[in-house]
Amino acid sequence: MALLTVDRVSKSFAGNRVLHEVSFDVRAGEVLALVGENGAGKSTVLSLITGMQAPDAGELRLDGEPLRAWSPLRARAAGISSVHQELSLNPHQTVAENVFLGQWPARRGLVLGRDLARRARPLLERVGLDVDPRTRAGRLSLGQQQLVELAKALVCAPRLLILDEATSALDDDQVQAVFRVVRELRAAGSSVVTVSHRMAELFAISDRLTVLKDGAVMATRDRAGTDHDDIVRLMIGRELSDLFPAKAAPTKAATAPALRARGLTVPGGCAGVDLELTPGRILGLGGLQGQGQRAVLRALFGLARHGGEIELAGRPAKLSSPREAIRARIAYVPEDRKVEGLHVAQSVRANLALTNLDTVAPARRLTTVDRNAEAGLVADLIDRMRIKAASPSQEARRLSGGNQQKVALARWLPSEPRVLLLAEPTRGIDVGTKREIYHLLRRLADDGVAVLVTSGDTMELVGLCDEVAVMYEGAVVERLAGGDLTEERLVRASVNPAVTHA
Amino acid sequence: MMTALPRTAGLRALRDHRAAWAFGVLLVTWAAAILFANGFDSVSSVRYLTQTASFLGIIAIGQTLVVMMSGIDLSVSSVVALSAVVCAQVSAGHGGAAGILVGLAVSLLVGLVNAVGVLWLRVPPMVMTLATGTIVAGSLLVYTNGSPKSAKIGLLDSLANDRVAGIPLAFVLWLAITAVAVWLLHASRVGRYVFALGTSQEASRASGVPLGVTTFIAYGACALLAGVAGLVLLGFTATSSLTMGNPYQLLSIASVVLGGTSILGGRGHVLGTVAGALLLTLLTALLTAWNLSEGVRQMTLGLLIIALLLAYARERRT
Repeated sequence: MALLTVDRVSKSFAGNRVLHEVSFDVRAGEVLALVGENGAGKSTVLSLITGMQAPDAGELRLDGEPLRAWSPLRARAAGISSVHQELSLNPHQTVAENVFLGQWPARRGLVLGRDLARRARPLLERVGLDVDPRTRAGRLSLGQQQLVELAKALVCAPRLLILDEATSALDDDQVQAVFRVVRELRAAGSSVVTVSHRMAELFAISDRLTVLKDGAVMATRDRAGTDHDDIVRLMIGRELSDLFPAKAAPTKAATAPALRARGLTVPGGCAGVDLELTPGRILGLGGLQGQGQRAVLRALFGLARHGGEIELAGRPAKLSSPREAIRARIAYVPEDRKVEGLHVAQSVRANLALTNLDTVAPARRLTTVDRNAEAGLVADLIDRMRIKAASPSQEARRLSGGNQQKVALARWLPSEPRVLLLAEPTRGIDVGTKREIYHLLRRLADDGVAVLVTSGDTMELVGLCDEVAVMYEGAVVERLAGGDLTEERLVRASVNPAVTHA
Repeated sequence: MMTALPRTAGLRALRDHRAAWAFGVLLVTWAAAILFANGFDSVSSVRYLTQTASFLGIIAIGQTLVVMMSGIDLSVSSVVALSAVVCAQVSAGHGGAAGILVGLAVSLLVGLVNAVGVLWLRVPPMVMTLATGTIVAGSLLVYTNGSPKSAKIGLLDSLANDRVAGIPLAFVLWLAITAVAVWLLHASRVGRYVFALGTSQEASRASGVPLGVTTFIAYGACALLAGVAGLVLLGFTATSSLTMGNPYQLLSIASVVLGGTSILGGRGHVLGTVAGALLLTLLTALLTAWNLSEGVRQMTLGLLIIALLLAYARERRT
């Protein structure tokens, strides 16, 4: 019995067809996964279901009734909740206030704070979140905030829960908590639609998978009747054998490290971290979410105040600002590309030129920007990185996540960095672009760049890195390389450092 | 679809060039003034308008630099008075040249103090500049004992009142300043930094944008230009007063915004500000020509600014 039916729905934006006669249904008490590359139309389908957009043609039916004048408000009232990758929490309000946003218990116009916290607790427990409901939401880690979003979606006891990349910021434990909630909902007869780039998760939790490609449904498969390769083939229309490039050959002669950190400490972030970044090698920082990986990267780029010693090519160095780090030819691609990685409201051209003004606007021209040189540089980078943009003057925010990431990375290439720091380089990016980025990073390493990558994706660290340092509560607890670098060892070291040490 | 695409592209281009809108509105208003009001069709009225618009325009150019990097300077009115009053005072004892130099120096100093507060003390620009403006106004009162001097300085007199080839020298000065500002903001490295900072401070930091230098240049230039405007005004009226800068505070910001620059920064063009200053000066003149009382005139001007803002310079929803 179908809870929700999507019937031959089409949608265009400014003459650009995003969905073409898409049909599928969500049965009561099932978990349906929507899979597809970036731009396949998943988000648009979801926005139709949640009432953010209306279809141009076709219709959606809930319990067999066509949806008319659908809106986010009505969708909520009908029991449709959603959790998105982008957070909607107010960081200055408490967790409990966020969970019950818009429906605070009140007496005579005064919010009952204690009552609010009391009612929030069971919901937080349900999503496996062990925090005081009176904490301000902004103090929680990204993953914890995502779980608060989930708790918020559960307030109205949804019949249909939509998870749109809702696990992208979560570590394995937190993902399990989400799965538990999903299974509870399914057992209670509710339905879940989930979108994720983590294929393994989709296989672990879904009953059926609907594959979208270029705005059309390729197939809907029962989980039992399909496998990873089958789905990927449907998604990209070809085999994907070489997701990861070959690793660096182990060299006998030790290369001098490009950057050496000893006892790197960031208050509240990491403590006593020793790292050596060697030209030609990709070092990974693994571990659960929020164990200080981010602090290490920010310290090395001069964005976080830090203690400890840093040597660049054997010489002691002080990195107290990004400008100093850049001068030392260190480049940084942050995890939050929309806030720090890019000027999303500026053009692709302006973004690519900003980090290369020394060459594009040289002092001998009185720092006047040479438009020809700029256009050449931008065209070259767009071409080299295969950035898909309508034109160099397109705003960066209009690009897909994968292309934004390519811009965030491309803008450092002309200055030929010696050290490249990347945080979550492929989060929320389709598999085709992931592959391109992995291969690019390996090529850069082969050309003599020392690369440091943090990632919450175990498969990525194992597939990409030559060595992985596992962090736990701000310290490196394990280093894995060569034959020891397996997903199993990595996960074990991440969740239970004490045991692996014993 | 074939016809729809170019049209939407054209509309977007128009929306993205709100500075061009400002010139359009200016031309329409000017045409309306010539048609429906007396005395706007003569060469001398054009001369007078461009001359008086120059005082506002010079200040507004500086304000554009600051607004473009998401700042704001609420001390310009005080700086206008500061440079004029100090110049008049100093020139009485040490001659005109000394007066001009000291006037400009103290103006620049205020700008640098603003930058220090915004940059190192991390005081929000609105609060910092409002505070320095108040301090400057107060210290002028103390400095002059409440009675600022008059001064007739040859250079300033001719700068404000003379003409070359029929064009007011003040207007020429304004255009020259504009040309430099166009280069600085739209062609130089500093301009790229200003736009980047106006778009996102975090992303700029992580891109290695020199926050310090850019902030000092923007606030320094803004205060210096307000000082220049104060000197030209001193030349124009041959007298200084403690309140001579007051009308220019709101009007300078309004010129920037009506010129199509986003008050949130990162978007706009210096030339739009030129149109904005001319437009506001024209509106003021129109309201005066209609013999409205001072109070009614101010009310109408305020309402007109809001109406024009709604018409074409509203902030975009993202």
